[in-house]
Amino acid sequence: MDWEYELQSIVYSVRSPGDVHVSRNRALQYIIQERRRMNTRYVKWLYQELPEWVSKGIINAQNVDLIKQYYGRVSEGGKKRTLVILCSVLGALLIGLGIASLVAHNWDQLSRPIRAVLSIAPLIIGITLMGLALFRKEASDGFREGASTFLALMIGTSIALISQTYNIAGDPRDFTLTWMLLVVPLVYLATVTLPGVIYVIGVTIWSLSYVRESVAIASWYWPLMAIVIPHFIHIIKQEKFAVRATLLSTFLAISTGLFLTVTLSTIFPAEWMIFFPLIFSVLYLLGSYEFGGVCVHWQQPFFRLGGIGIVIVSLVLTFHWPWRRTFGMLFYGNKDIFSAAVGYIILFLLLAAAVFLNYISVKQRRVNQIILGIAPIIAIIGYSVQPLAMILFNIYFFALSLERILSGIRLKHLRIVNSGLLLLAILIMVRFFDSAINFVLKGLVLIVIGVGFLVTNIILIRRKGGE
Amino acid sequence: MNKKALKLILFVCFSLLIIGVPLYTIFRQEMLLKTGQEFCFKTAPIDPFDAFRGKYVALRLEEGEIMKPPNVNLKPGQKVFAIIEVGSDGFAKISKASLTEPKGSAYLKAYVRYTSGNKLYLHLPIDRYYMDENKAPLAEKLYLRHSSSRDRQDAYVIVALSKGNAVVKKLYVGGKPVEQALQEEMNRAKGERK
Repeated sequence: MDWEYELQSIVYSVRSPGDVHVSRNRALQYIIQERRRMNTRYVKWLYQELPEWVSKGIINAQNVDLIKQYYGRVSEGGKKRTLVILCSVLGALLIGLGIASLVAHNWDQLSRPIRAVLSIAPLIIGITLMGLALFRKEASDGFREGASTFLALMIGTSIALISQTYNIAGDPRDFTLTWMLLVVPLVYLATVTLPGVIYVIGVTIWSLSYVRESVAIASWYWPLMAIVIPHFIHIIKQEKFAVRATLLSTFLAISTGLFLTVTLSTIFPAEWMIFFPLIFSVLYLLGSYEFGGVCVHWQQPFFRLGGIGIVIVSLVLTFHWPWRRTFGMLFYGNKDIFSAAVGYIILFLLLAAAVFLNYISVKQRRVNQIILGIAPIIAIIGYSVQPLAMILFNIYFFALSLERILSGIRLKHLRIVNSGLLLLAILIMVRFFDSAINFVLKGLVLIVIGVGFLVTNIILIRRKGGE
Repeated sequence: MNKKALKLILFVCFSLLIIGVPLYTIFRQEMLLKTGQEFCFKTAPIDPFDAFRGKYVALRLEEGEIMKPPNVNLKPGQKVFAIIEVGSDGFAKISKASLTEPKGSAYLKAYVRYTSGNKLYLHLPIDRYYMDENKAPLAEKLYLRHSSSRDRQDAYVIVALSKGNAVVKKLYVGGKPVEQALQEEMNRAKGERK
């Protein structure tokens, strides 16, 4: 395999600075800088390649020793640890569900005092397991995660069983919030992540249920989410928590994106075509921003969600229907002053973040980031000159797909080329199916697109093989 | 104090908290059941599709709507105190709503659902009665039969009240506890099948 292509792939996969022309020495230097943040599998791959590099004269034996000294031993722990955690959690869930089913079968025949005692029993079991997980020396991470997840679920089960026993009326939203507030201390007590994920999901559901009714109550989303951030910061700093950090980050990205889109759409329902690109572009740029000179694993969900979001929203905005209505200036309609103020503050903060992150991208000349990051600017221009908005977004989407194709060709990366071709094909297809063109012509166009796909792939594969 | 000792203290505090909250709820509800004043509330005609949600029968009390207090601006979700009086028929009625906690009369803590004209619609803390979901279809039919037509409206709930808090003790249909009525219905249905 071509060593330059492999190094470029490593560099690209951790998102190196824009210009991907990489010399041998610069690639090695870059990899050494990555030491603390690279995933174990990259180090393992590197160790496997070193003998071949030595035999080809790329590096010498001394370089090999230096590299191995710097990276140290590669443990097999990562995958095994994840598997143990998954099995523990699954086991805990199944046992919990089984116990609940057995109790539920005979529930009706039990007296009220017995039901009350049984409502507390899951908590006692959960606390016992949690105690063992925390204070036994041989307790593994997996057992801790499993025990804490079981206890988190039993807290909710217990509250629900008591409500049933005493026919307690109540808003399910209050139940959710109480449950989540009782779960979150577990995250810090045991340094576990899965209860944190449960907490993020619960708080998101709770706050989304209030958005349409009261933005003031829904805005508690931010301080409630802030509770779990110190734990998030703690786990992203340590390589051994990489999988858990990525998992929590995934839910944080989805939760934040969802809450922002729903809140702003509720407060300013007519201006969603500005907010959606703005929110996704901030998520994307946050996922691409190099903290300390490099991107890290927890940024992947933000990067992917933001990127996919921009592409989908941009595609939707290439149609005529989003721009059909005439709009005035940004207004808050019949919402109260507080909701409007919250909306404007969120908007201001998002705009500030977008401007700052875009400025960094421009400064570092990262074309791929710039082109995705400017989506909100295109939306604002389109909103201001509405007759041209649809055309503007069609040009923008075309530029997006072209950038992907050209990057892929430059990097000799088939996946990127194909993703660009796919975007181009989707754009052409929706425009054609949108218009009143006859089937024969549509069919010919589809054939041309398909041939284009095949030819590009064949050329690229041959080029890579030839080198 | 070392880390382990601190962790143990925090764990014990956390355990006491998560057990304490449900225990307190159980204690409060048991005290209500034992010492609370009992009232009978008639159930109102209900939407058949809304009657049974999973494991519980959705109750709607006749007393969920009253006259709106004059010269008072009430917002949805606002807390009010629903003052209770017992009518000549032995059933409890909500005579009026107050913004301050009344002294000397039984009352329920309620929330404003909405106002319409001179009527005030309240959300009362008596809105469900849990049952085995396997008995749901038959329980639903029974409850509907005794709630949906004006001339056969003989479903009611016994509620224990104390300081504005309420707990549902029993749901009655046709003068019998719903569980007993259900059992008789099931036995009759079995007999008919034979």
